Amino acid sequence: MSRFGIDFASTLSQAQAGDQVAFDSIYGLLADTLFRYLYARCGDRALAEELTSDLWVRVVEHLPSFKIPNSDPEVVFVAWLYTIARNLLADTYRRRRLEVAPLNDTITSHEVSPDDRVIINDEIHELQLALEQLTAEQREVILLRFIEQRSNSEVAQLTGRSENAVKVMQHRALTSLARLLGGKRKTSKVTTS
Amino acid sequence: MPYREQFNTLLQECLARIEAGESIDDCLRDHPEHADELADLLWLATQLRTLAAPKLSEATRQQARIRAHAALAALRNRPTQRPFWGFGMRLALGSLATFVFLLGSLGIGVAAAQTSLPGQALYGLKRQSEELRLQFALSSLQEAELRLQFASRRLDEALASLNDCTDADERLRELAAANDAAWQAISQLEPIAQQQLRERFNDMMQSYQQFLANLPASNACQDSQSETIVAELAPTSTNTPTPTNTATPTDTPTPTNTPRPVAIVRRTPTFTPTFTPTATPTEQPTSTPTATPTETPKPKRSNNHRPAPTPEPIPTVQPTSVPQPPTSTPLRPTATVTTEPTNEAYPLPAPATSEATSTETPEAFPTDETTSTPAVTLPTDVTTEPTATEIQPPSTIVETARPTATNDKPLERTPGPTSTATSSKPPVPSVRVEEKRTATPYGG
Repeated sequence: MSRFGIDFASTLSQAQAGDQVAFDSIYGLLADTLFRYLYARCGDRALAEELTSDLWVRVVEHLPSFKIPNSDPEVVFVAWLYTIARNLLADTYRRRRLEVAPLNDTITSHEVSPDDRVIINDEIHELQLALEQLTAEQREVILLRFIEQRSNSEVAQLTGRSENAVKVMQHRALTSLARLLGGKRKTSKVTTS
Repeated sequence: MPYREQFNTLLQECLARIEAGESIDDCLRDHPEHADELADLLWLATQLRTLAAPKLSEATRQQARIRAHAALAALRNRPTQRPFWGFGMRLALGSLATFVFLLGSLGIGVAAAQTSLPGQALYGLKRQSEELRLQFALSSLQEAELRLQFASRRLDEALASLNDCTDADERLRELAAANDAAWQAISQLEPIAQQQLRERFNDMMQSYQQFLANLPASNACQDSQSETIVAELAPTSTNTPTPTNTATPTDTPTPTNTPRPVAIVRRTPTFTPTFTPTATPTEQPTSTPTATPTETPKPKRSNNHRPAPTPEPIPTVQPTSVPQPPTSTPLRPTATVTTEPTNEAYPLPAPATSEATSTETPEAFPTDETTSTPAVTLPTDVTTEPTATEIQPPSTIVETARPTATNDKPLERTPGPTSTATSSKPPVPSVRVEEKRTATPYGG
């Protein structure tokens, strides 16, 4: 049983055979994840949604060629999906000559009480603006490591980098965010549990 | 450990502790020296963890699913590959590619082998390809042409390896065999084709003769090989009409035309006469013209470094008629033809220049002359045994005088110093000897 709560290898094998239900299971588990990844990389929600739709068509077309590993099939499969997403982005940038657009979506907090929403919204907005200043690679690591809450090894596997490189990159990304935000920490009312 | 690396390690430790449920303050208390810097980064990390990640809109989610389902349906309807056919196709294509590669390699190898020499790696392939071409010859004419071409190759190989004394005998044997095979193949053709190919053969041989003649002398091995090659350039015995033994001096011998070139090109003189024209016959009056030496010493070959001749021919010209008066060269020993015997299998005419050299050596009679005035009745070793002292009366010499050195060249139109010294059975008329001696002080 995988972290998704299903027998991922079996479900994936059925999807490869054309089973629509099995495919819908996988799609439901990973659709948002891939959308966020694309969104973090391109910074354009509309484009990220369009690319997400294209991405799953491409996934289906290449699904029979995926060889299911004996160990960690879900991690390997997600990494394979991220590879397809990166290639799709590269193709799109090459075709459209796009620059990385800034994030324009509103990121809201999971645990914000209505009383603090005004203050927090300001802080979230500032954090959003700071995230837009990061490089695509730094945003990708921040997304996977903190928003998706994946481990360093998972991020390394998904992004094709070494684990040490992921640690260094998240350190740089956090340092850049801190510099962009200044002393906002002192006035923030958002504290750790 | 550098500070950045050390701090990064500390940051990862604190992030792990926070993910495990500890607070930021707990981590900062344990690392007061980095508390200020750590506080900002850990606060940002917790802020990011509390953010709600953006989600795919429902409309896009449905649209993407529909498109994926369509692609999935197309995947199901895609004709499955036939594994066996695919494997068979790959196998067939692989085999074809291998065959083409090998064929190309063989072609390249055969082409490269055509310039190889004996002893080289590809020479065997060269000879095999030649045999294969002979096997596929469509006609006797084509086969003869091929054999002519291959004989030329053997000759080229022998000439190219003149400086190589190893396996020289083998190369020369190959050359002889190729020449014989070519000549035999040519002899089986129709007369017209035969004539054409013989002319080509002659032209080829003459060009090689010129090549050999212009070669500078180098070493004994090369000289020896050159001699043998020169011999190979002469006609073979199977194709050279042999002179008839019935010719007499009265007859005008009409030597048949030998189709193959008979001229021999010598790079270096192959003999040096050991006698000098100082024989004493001049002091001996020829009062007994019929006398012939009863114990005529056999001519000694002063030069025998050439290949041993085949059985010596019987004199083909035997003077039976009245000898002619002495020729215009009375001071020359007319009977001292001591040139080396020629190879009977390849009777060779002497080049025209040989006459010039005869001024220094005992002159050999031209064949045209010897037909009427048989020459060489005296032993070649004139210097040691003046023949005049051993001349026997005419009555006896008829049976006893058998000059061992005779010249059978007249029938081949190949007079000159290369006449062969052979034993002759017919008696030599004493009259001829007598007249010669009277006219020539040297008793020639």
